Amino acid sequence: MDVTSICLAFENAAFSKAIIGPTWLWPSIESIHMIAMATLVASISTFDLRLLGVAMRDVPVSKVGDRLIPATWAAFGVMIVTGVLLFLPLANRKYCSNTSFRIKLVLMALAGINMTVFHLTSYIHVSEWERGKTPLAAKIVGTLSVLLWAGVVIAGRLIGFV
Amino acid sequence: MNLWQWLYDSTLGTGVRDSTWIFPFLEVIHIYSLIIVIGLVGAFDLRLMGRALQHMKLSVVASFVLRWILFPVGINMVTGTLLFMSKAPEYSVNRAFQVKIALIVAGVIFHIIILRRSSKASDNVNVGWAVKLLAGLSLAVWAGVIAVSRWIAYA
Repeated sequence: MDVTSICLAFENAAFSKAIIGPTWLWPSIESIHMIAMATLVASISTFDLRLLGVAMRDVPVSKVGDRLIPATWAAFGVMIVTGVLLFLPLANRKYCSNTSFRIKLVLMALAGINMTVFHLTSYIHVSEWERGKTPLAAKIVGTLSVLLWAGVVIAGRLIGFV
Repeated sequence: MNLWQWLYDSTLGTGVRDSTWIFPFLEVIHIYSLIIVIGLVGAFDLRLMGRALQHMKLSVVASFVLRWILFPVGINMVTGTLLFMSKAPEYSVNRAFQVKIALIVAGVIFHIIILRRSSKASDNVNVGWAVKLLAGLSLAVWAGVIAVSRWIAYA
């Protein structure tokens, strides 16, 4: 089975037809997707700006993390669910061969790897540095995170164009 | 001649419309700057509601937001105006667009007043229930701005 036939199967599933059926449903899911995206990017970038020492320097990094990470995961969950719902009914027609969509997925994967590396390295001993200077490695992670998520937003918006 | 048509025919309006890449380019900047703006006012609303940043003084949070929000707001307004000009007659009668502008006006008025007052608030200020309610409404208004923005394409 090649990618095209899988994407066609997604599109033709009864579930997908149900989503695309009423004219208001797909755009409404898209609206929720955008609200979750704004929440996600704002919370992640706020944490990144703390890492970089731009904002809330007097608050320990782990405290900022404790407050923002649950909201970030909640928004991410909403994004994944709504994203899949948006993808399935138009999988073949709109997404599977769309360059911007592919770039978006790659950028999200890179953002995920970036975050995982951070949580397995610098963040393990955050208590040693969170009140002083952020180590260079963590600053690089923060910079990459801001840029990768901006890229996700940009690529996401460009799906309609390229 | 009508204003929307005049904007549509202007050099800027025509330039944005006729280029293949300027419209998407402006739209990307418009959306990213909107995230920054809503991130800042949303965080401030949560602070007013007593749900976030409680360890920071209200006046400090308000001053921070006021200092950082002007640039993204400016970028957002410039890009939004250019996007609007390229299809002014169409947008001006679009129901979702009209609702969006109304919501933005309401949100901006609320935030201009509350941010300026908060930046001068005393250290032990107590946020009253009415302001908390308005802050909650403001969050809903800004979420609404994002939601109806997406609907402009379908309305």
